[in-house]
Amino acid sequence: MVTCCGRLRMIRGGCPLRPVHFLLVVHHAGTDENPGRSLIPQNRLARVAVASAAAAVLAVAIGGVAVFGGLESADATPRPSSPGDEMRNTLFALTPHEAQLVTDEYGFEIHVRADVEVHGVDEPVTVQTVGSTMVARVLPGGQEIRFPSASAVRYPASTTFDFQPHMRDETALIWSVAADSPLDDLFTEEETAEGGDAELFGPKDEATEEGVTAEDVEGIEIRLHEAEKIQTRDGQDLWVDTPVVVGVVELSVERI
Amino acid sequence: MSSPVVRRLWSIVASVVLVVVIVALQRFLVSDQDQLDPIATSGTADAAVATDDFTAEVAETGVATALEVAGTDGTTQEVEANGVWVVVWVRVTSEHTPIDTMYAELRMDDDTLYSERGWFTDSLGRSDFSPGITVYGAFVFEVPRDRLDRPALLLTNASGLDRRLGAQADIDLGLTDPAPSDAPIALLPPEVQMGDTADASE
Repeated sequence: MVTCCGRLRMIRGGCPLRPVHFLLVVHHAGTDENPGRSLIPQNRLARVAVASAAAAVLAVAIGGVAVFGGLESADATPRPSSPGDEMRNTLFALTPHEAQLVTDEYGFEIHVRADVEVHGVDEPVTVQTVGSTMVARVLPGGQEIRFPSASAVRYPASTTFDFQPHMRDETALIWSVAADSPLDDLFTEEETAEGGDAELFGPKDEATEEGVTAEDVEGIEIRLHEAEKIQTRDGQDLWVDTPVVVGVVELSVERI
Repeated sequence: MSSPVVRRLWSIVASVVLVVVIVALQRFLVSDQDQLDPIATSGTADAAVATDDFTAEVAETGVATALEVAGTDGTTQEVEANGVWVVVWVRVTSEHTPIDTMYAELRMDDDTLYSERGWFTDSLGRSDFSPGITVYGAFVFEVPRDRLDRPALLLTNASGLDRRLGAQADIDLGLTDPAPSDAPIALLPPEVQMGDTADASE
């Protein structure tokens, strides 16, 4: 124990087995009593030399990074893929093929024909979960539209609620944009300013908010985000999106 | 008196042992989700399976590549399967309270789950069940052909869409020959069966 608690060792980090003793000793052990323990040399010339060398190393490192193309942020958006290319996150794969613009009296819908295949789990995944890992925007304005519903291409009368596991399914993903909320008339201007029916139906998406009409729409951009599994407080599994984008596709809409 | 080093060693060893014991004991904890799993009653397709809330009796299981469903204006329409259609005909009788949502799943031998397709208005998945009234109809599943392996039907009383602690029938369908027939299966709407006599006369 005696050798362990010699003074020099004390300054460097102390004796691991006798902390009380360490505190007592270190109290009157100032740095001025122990020259030469610092990494910075005492000699001024030597200091300049060390600083110059460090600067040179840093310059070479920065230059090297620049030469090899520079740094890129970790969540960089991948290059847009073409229609028909598969994009995948850990939960499912999405292969968008084409988009159609359907107009009705309430607004318009963008129907994207796509293949969806759940590969990450051995149970059905709701359309809502799949939709929540995608962000869609109308082009060229770039306003966000939210939460598609789904319908089977084989059976257009259907509404799909679940995508079945390990089954590639040709699906119409349908994003609806209301031209004007028909319930807005029920609210006074004050109430509308406070959000109108948002409490009932959730906030309006950007496209509705900014009054995008079918004439403004030339295409749709879909960004597929990475999905991750979290646990809710009562222990249920929940799949949510992460900020990482794993695929981007732009489809021009065909008007029908 | 043992030296401080030895004493310290002892306490380290004791701590490690205790940590290992704690981790080992954690394995006996039942997760929140498992505590609330549906309460399953197992059975086979040969006999009725009685749960606390309902009785289910599988009458027939059909596998086909096409399904004939009612279209608009009384016409019929054929829908091709993306794999195979598995159509399970069941008699369901609620025991004491109305069942508004019967959640149906098909579980394969490797525990992969397929949910009721939900597309067809004539499916039993759209029915509700009043106590004592037997309803006969079909649940429709769509499964990739190579995944259809010793399926079992899971029916869960999901009142208020909440399946936690719900009564569940776990019925082995005993499907020995999963080869699909080429002839389409006609999906008929559910019918109420009031005892055996009604079955025969109508």
